[in-house]
Order: sequence, then structure tokens, then C-alpha cells
Amino acid sequence: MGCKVCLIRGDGTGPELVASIEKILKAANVDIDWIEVEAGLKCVEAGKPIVPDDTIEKIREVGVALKAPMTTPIGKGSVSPNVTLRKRLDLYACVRPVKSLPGVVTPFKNLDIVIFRENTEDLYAQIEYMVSPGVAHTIKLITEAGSERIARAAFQFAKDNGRKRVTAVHKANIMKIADGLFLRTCERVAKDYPDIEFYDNIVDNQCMQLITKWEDYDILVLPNLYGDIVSDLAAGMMGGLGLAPGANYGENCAIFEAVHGSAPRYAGLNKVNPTALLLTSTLMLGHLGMHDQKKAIEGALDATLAEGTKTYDIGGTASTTEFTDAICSQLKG
Amino acid sequence: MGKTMNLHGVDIYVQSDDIPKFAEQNGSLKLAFISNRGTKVFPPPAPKFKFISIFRCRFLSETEVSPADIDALVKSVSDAGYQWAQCQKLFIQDGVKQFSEPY
Repeated sequence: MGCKVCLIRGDGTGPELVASIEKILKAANVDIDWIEVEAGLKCVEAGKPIVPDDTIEKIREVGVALKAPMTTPIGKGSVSPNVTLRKRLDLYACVRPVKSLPGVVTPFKNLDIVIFRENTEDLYAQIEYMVSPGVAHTIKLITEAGSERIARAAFQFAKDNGRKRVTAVHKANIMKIADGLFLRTCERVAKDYPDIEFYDNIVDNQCMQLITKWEDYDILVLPNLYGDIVSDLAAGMMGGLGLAPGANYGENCAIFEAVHGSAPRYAGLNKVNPTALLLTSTLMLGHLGMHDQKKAIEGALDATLAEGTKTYDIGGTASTTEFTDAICSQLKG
Repeated sequence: MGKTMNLHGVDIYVQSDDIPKFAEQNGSLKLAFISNRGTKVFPPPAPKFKFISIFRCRFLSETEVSPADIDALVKSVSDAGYQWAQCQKLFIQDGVKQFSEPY
């Protein structure tokens, strides 16, 4: 019997991406018992919450989920299913590795950065009011406890993976109280990791430095909103959102999800790039201790890209199916 | 600009180590939810995470209320022994809520 993993097939292109991943994992002899749970547009259309309580409970019970992209309905009162899962399961650490891939041509060679984005606080607490006509307030919620646990996650990852430095990214020169609390907390945690270099950087400067001196950066740790923006910037540096994996970790639970959205206008066209969800899946395999299969799949992906089999978004002509089959052939070869 | 915003409730941010306990109906104002860090913790099910010591308690009325109703409610929270840190009145304009919902 394999490891139990909850599976959310997602909306838009989600189901066809999941089909690709299932095929590749099978070719790599990965033994997983998928437990399908519902969330997203189908739930809304059936009159249920966008993430039903039984889905949250099942993921909490199993402890691991793979999630394809979901669509946030546009309109007043709609909440993001992705943020709902992160918030209700307290998945505080969003980890997004960005690394150059063979055959993917970008100006950013030897890119290798891991972004730790705080996932439950900041402006994403979604506390907003119109306080008088024409005047809106949004609360930016930063806590010492929330800042400490993401900082510790970043430093511990650096220590466990032989990384050299952690950079805390903030705007404490302007938001001296909220971002100041985040920065001071990171500085305090840094003292517990004397072998890891610690720097801090203002978020606007960090964006500029990322595209001019990316090789100087190793681990970045950021509050939620800056983390959201900088991780998409970094995904672009890697070659696009179709390549960038992501994971959300809590104390006892983890959800693995690609960075990109559900791209509903590409649904059914057999065109989208499954790389982001595939690398997301290999992060999950590492979490589950399946290191040999992780290495084999990542090797097969690298070989496929290096041979020039690519989807449209990175300059190729391969369909989703052709790209998937090429990776499977590498695994069997 | 200039449109009327009708008062329908209040979010009271209460200092507490655990989920505060209030009467669910206070005149026309009903306890709609309590959230912690933007995530609903009442009514159940409450997510299993470590709470921070500020809870947002939303009291909402289907009909318009007066500022005096809000003042009385806030006083009742203090009288119940809770320290509140912040209050925010909740408005509805042309039938549309002018405030966000928790996760």
C-alpha cells in the first residue's frame, strides 16, 4: 500500500495537468493512494462552500495534499480557495524554489534561490472596511509569533540544506511598526543560527537586486504580500509561471501546489506546461521521503528539456501529452 | 462620494487568550462570527492553530442600528470583563456590505 495523499484536481487546466502528473509518477513507480477531495468552482456551482469543511478535515487527517490550480470566482464576497486552505490549515510557510532549468533560455543563469513567504498574515488576513464614503482601510496584520515561525523555517532550511545566507525582505523604513516587528524578529532568530549569514533588504531594492545580482541571493524570507510579488518575479526569472513549483507547510500538514493559476481559457487545448506541477510533485515526494523517485523524475525532466522537447510557453511546440510522454520515455529509458 | 452608508454593526477587537464568550443576541445585533488572524474560529468548527491574543468579534444587525446601540454593545463587552483594543463600525451601502468576510 502506498502513501496516502489527498488530491484536488482543480479548475480550468487543473484536471489535464493532474492527468500528466499521474502518468509520470506511474512511470517512475511512485506508489501513492490518492484520496480525491473537492474544492473550487464545482463546489460553488453545487451550492457548497468553495472549500468544504470535510475537505479541510480530510487533508488535516491525511497530512499531505497535492493541489492543481483552482479559480477564485470574481465578484463580491468570493474568497480565494487557495488562501482559505492555507488559512484554515495554518500552512504558514509558503516555500518556492526558483532554479535554472536546462534548455530554458533566460538572462538569469545559475539562478538558485528559495523563497520563504509567510502565508497567513499581512494584508492577506483580508480585514477590510469602507470606513466612510470614499475611504477604505485594510489591516496589515503582522505578529511576532507569525514572523518568528517563518524566520525559523527559513533558517532551519538553510542549515539543513547547506545554504549560506538568509535575507529578510521588508519595508521597515516606511512601515516602521509592522515591518519593523517582522525585521526585528528575523534579526533575533538569526542569532540562533550563527553559521548562516543574515542580511536584510528593502523590498523595492530587493526586486532591483534580484534582476541584477541574482547570484548573490540564497534564501529570502518575506511577509505575505512581498513574498507573493517577489516569488512571481523570481518565477519569471526562472522562465515563467509554468515552471515554478510551490509548497505550503504547517506544523502537521502540507499542501503542494504550483504557483500558476488555472488558465481556464487554455482548458482542454492540451497545450499547457505541466512542469510547475511536476516539480511541485517532486517537492512532495521529497517530503514523503521518496528521494530516489524525486531524483529520477527531476533527471528525466532535465533531460527532456535539454533535448529540446518543450511546451509553447518556453518556446517549444510540444503538446502537454507529447511533453508528458517524453518525460515518461526518459524514465523508462 | 456622498452616498449614505447605513450603520449595521461593529467589529470589536477583544484581547483574550482564548475564544471570548458573548451572548449571541444583543438587541438586534447578533454575534455573526469571531475570527483570529482573519480566520473564523466561531461558530465551530474552529481551525486547530495557536491563537494570537486579539479576536475580532463581529456583531451585525439585519436592520439599521444607531451609534448609541454600538456604544451600548461596546460597553457591555467591557462590563463582561473583556478589554477591547479597537472597534470598527460596519456599514451597508445600497445593500452592499462595506466590509470583508473572514476565511
